[in-house]
Amino acid sequence: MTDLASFCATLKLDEAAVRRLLETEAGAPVRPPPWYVLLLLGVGAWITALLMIAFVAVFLGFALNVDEPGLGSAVIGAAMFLCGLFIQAKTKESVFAEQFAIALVAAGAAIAAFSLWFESENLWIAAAAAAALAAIDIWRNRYAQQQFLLASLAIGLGVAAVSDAMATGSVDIVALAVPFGAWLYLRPPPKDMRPAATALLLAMPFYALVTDSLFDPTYGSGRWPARIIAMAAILVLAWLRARGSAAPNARLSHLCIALAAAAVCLLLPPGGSAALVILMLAFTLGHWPLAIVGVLLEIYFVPRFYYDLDASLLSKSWILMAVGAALLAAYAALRRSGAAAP
Amino acid sequence: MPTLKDVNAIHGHGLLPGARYFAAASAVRDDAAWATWAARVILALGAGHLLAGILSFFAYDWADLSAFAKFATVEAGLVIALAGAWFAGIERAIGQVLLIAASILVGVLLAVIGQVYNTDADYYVLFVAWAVLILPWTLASRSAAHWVVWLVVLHLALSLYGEQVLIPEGRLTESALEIGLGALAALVLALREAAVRKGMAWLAGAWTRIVLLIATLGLLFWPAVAYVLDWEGEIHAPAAFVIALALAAVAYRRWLPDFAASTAVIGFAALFAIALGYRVIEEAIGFDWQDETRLVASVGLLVLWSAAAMGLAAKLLQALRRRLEPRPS
Repeated sequence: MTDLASFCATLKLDEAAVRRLLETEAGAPVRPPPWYVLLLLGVGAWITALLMIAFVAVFLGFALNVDEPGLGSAVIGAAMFLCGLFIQAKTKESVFAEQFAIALVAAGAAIAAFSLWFESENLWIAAAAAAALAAIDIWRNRYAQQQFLLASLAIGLGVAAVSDAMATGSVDIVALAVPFGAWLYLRPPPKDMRPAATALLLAMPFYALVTDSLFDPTYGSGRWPARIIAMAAILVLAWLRARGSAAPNARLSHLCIALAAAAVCLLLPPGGSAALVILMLAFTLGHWPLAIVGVLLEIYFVPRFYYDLDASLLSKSWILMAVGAALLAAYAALRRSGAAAP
Repeated sequence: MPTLKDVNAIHGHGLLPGARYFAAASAVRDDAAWATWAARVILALGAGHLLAGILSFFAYDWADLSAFAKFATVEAGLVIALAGAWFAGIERAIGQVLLIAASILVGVLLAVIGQVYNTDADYYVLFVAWAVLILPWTLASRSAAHWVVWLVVLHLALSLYGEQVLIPEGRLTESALEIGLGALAALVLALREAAVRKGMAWLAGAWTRIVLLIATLGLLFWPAVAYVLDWEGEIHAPAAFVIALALAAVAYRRWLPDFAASTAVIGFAALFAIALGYRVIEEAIGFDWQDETRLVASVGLLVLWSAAAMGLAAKLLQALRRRLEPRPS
């Protein structure tokens, strides 16, 4: 860690401008909320958006006699989306209006995208429409929870389109979302895309979570491309971290961590491997919220492995013990290198 | 001392190009803290996977493995884990993990006894015995993680006892069991707060408070919402939830100011308010599919109520943050 003067000098930043900015941020009447507040507000917006979708469905069905979504409901969805953005542009102080507008934007985008799907019977069109609406929101760049909901909608529809188009192997395509999300975190574009990047990082674990609980467990002996993508992502992240560390024992510790994580990726189901990439990204960037998400996902995926239908309990027990042994060996190596506190 | 949040702000205002973002994040990263965190995560995940593997191995109930071999394997593992904890010392992370492993292996041993001797005992007996047998190690461990493991075993023991004995015998209702388990979690949270005040630093991690608070409110939330939505349960369920919510709100606003804990309290309160709004609208107007006008009005009102509840939650959080989180100087 470093002080502001040397931080600016090392990165060739305008120290006066940075100092001014940080002082303004610290004195601002409303500071950006912490991640857990955004999570809560996001859940609230999601619930309100679902209720709003139910309202539009009921209204269309009874007042306008529309039984099935189509172009008409897509137009209504788009109007709701624009109306929500308009309220946000005009609202400065009202928290109620903000929450209502976020739900309106999310519900409008969902209604428009799903209506286009019903109209065209093509999931790709729905995914493209949702992606376009998410892009508009990223360009406007106002609310993190809104961007996350819209990006999740677009990614969810994209994943559904891929699954619909491919009889097998869709998981390997979905796995590509994780390194893309990590890249957006490591080299962010000028517009803040962290909520969309988070949605991309969560795509694979949630795909595994949904398919595993609904119809098609994604673990088992196959899915090698997905595992290799996760392994490659972990090795690249570890290389980046090691490159940024001066101490030789730190480099050795990063090598131990990377090798253990890569070995685990070969053994674990893709959902668990993707969660491991999130953990590695958190470690590489020094990002506590991602670390908490990664740990919670790993806690979910280890017991879920018990329900793998492709392997016997005996095979699973050997795999789990091998993963455990690889990780404990990495811990022992870390201790020897002096990088880990006892 | 800049933080990652500052780096994000500097980047967000165009003062830091994306190409130099990672270098900036690396410059403010606390390398020592992250090295310790990584080592602990690797140790915990390694031990977790190994123990899950051992559990799966014995759950497979391999017919080729004799009873003697089964007992010898588990007991050898138990002795090795205990000896390792003894030599490493339970004040170190590795010693604590080995003691937790020994506690989990006791459960495996009890399951193997059940397999070999076909005791036909109810599941709750295994969990009660497990909780009792590992209690001395838990008390000695001075590890919050060990206590979490013990509390999970105790929770399973009590909920299985309720489901397999008390509810079938008509001595307890399902709702009362859920309230009891929630009250137990609340009691543990209160004990945790008292212990931390007495100076037990090993319990002072912020995560222990949040985990216990979410467990308490989560366990009491579902029966309360089930009653409010008229699915099942008794009036005691929402009463217990509201009392727990009020106590937690006062505790983490006045006695032990904590913004993260207050956020959890406000979140549960907002979700409960949405459920309550649904019930009030249902009673007042109704969600009758045969009456179109009323249905449209009811769902529309629910949308407004939900947005209002979340808006109020956001407003409360803003105000609380100003009071509980001092501005950085």
